[in-house]
Amino acid sequence: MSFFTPVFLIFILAGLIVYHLVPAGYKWCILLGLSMFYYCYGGIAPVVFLLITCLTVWLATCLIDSDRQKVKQQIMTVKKQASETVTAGDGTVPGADTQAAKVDTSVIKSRAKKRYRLILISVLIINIGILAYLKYFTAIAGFFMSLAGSEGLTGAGSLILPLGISFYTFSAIGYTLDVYGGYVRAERNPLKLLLFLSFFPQIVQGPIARYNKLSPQLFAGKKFDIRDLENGAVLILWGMFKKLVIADRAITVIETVFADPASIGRGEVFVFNILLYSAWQYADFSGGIDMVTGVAQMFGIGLDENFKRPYFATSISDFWRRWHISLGNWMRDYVFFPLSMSRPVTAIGRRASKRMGEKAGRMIPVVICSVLTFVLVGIWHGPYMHYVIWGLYNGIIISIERALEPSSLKFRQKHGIEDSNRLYRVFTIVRTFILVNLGWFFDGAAASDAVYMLKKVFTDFSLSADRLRFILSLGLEKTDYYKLLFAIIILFTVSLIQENGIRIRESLWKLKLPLRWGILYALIFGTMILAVSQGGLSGFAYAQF
Amino acid sequence: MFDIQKIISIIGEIKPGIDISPDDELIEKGILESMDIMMLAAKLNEEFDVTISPLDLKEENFRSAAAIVSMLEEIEDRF
Repeated sequence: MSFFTPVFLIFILAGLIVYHLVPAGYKWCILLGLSMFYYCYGGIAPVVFLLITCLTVWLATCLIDSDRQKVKQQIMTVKKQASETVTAGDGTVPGADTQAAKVDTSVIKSRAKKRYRLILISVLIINIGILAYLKYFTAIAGFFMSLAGSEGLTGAGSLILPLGISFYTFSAIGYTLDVYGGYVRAERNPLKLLLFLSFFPQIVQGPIARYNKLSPQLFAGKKFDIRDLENGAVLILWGMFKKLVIADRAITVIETVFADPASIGRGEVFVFNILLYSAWQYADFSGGIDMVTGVAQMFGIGLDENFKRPYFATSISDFWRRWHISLGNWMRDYVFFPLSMSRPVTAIGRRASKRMGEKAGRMIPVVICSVLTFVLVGIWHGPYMHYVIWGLYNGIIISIERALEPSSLKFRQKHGIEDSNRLYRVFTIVRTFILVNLGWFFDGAAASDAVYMLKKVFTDFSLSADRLRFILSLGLEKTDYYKLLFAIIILFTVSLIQENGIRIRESLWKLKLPLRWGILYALIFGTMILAVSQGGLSGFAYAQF
Repeated sequence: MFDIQKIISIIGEIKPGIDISPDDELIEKGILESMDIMMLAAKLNEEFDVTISPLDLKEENFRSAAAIVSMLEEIEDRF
């Protein structure tokens, strides 16, 4: 169900009315009904995979949690018996029973952990297996078939990806790991777990949810608050502006250039295109997230922030704390950290320390884990070499940044350059923007095309009026470019205001009524006037993940 | 009982030159990044003879020195 259809509008309005009329204890049922309706709207078959994930995770987490409670009781009993024996003073060696109790509880815990690990591994294999099969089977089978000399899989051989499978699988895995680690209690109601996994605003393109943050809100049944409706509506409007005015306009040029770079062959066009790609990626993805977050807010539910003005980042590390934040955090918590503390990596660190010194001993594990994590981020985007290269590139750049940090700090201290120095900050922002854009070549195009375009950027680049006129043949009229530029300036201005700590919606409600509504009407009518025509509308880029 | 001043001093070993108080935001202010959290966890494991697992290395557990103390106390009680 596209966000830009009358059906979706009716769906949301009807859903809001029913949700806010129903008693608090039943509101979550309405959300579940809405989410299942939304999920099945395009077809019922894919919901099977969602239900398999929900059922396997529910069973596993309930088993682990129930067993853990029994084991805790057992441990308490053992400790109690040991302390009673010591207190009774029945002639045994003082403290002997406490020691025996420690050994007993240690054995009990160790056996329990083994059981939980087995359950966890089973659930991970099933759910990662489903994701890997559906997402990567076509590409991998096609690769092997091409090696054998036959054509790749097409049509009936390709697999349909269930809506939001990457997002809900990651949420499910995170939740399972949290229960396994004893950080959260298992959800006993499978329907509530199903709601957590399938909550309709975020199923399309995230953010990837964390159980301990989202579930209290889903089940609380918050009272109606007009400010939630207002804030949600404004955010949806802002998201629509980004998507319809910037993203859906820029994509015309981007698709033309990426479709056949060799027929263009001009470095300046490739630079222009990648800058547009930068704008498109951000406007499309963050615009979608704004709409998703706005819809959730109208139901009184706050989703985690997923973008934080990433093009103001001062380093690649900073960029990844601002771009697709939920994915970055998930990868950090469930991949990077476990990898870094794993036996093989700590062994490598110890060996490196002995042979090359303490600094190397600390850096090498970090480099290995950063690169592996980002390669995984690349693979998450798709089973293509260019995504792997893009992931590798980010992992390497972050590692270099980390390695150079101490000397960079020394240099700045020596020359009195504070981090807050404006010129230095602008320099780091521009530097990071360039590094990110170099990476985008491999995010947007096949590896060979990306290499070709980069070569042309450095060998065949001209800013002559004649060459620049070529840009007008890429699918957009001059007026479209003016609209795009105008919209990007608005986006930049709003981002700059937010980067300086001003909360736009809060400030908006404090303005006098005529000015407030003047701005809102400008946004509404501006979006309607400047938006691409219906025929130019495209879906959200990340909806295919 | 986990000595918060000792924890602050360990943070200082990883990030020399910074001066923090128990409730200062460490993650939001960019004082600690992922890699710093890794190193800090290793040092805390050594210093306090606890087992901080990878799943403990979450932002909310390292947001301040006080949060780190709470995390360590929870680890002690948790199974």
